[in-house]
Amino acid sequence: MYSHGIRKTSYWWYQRDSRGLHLRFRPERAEFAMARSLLPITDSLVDEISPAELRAVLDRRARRLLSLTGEQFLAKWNQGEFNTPEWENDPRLGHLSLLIPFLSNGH
Amino acid sequence: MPGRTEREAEQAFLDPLAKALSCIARAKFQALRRNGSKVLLLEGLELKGSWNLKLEVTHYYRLLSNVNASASERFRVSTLSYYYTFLEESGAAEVISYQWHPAGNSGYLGPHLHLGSGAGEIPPWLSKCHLPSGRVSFEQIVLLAIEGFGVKPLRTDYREALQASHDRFTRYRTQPGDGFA
Repeated sequence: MYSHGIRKTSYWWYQRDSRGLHLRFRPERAEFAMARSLLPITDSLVDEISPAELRAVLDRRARRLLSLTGEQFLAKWNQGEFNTPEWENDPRLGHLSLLIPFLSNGH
Repeated sequence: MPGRTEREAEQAFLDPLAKALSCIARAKFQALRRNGSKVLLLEGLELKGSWNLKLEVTHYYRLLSNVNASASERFRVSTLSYYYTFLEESGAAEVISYQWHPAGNSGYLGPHLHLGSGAGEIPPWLSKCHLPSGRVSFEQIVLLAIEGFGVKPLRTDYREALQASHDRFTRYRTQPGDGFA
């Protein structure tokens, strides 16, 4: 149906026939374009990861910074074991704690 | 970085970062969003140069709006905090880490750097010390990797590209009292 078009955009198609040039609408392409517009625009620039994947990041960093697994760090954090003067202003703690809010599902 | 829409502002923010990264690696940032904030990550990016290092990035940001701004600058991305860390080749120890985390648990609010044991014999008190620095851009980190640590650039025009992007960062970074909320 569209094979004789001379130029196309995402969902508009210029088609020439014996009566001249006509602008045709391609609804299936419009639907695709609208669906694509709802995706995060960052898709091509970054890889979106899940909270579970971030948990693996936290695990690697906790092992490096504190010699703890990620789960061990979170358990100590939740039990308030870092709320002591010796941990105050410790840069390793700040580094890891900022990741915590992203570990749960959110929008 | 400003934009007419949130998407445009985020694109304007991420595009220079991706271009800067392309100067030293064929890699992408990872990202995760939660409640309006987003974290960008690079995990142990291998850098081959005069010294083999790894680069780790954690960059938190959010989108702000200013109804009084012009339509083309209605939305803007604002950095909440960053950690740009060079690790030794094994990834086990930090060499140097540029940080800014004004909302973290630390009592030190300004941009600073830390020296780590990967840099050599560092007394523990010094590795915990917040050494003041200016606010650095990711472009400056990439330039440091190339010109300071001898990482081979993947683009011949890396300096011009990083400079232009850094200038844009300096121009548009949010400042206290600039009307964005």
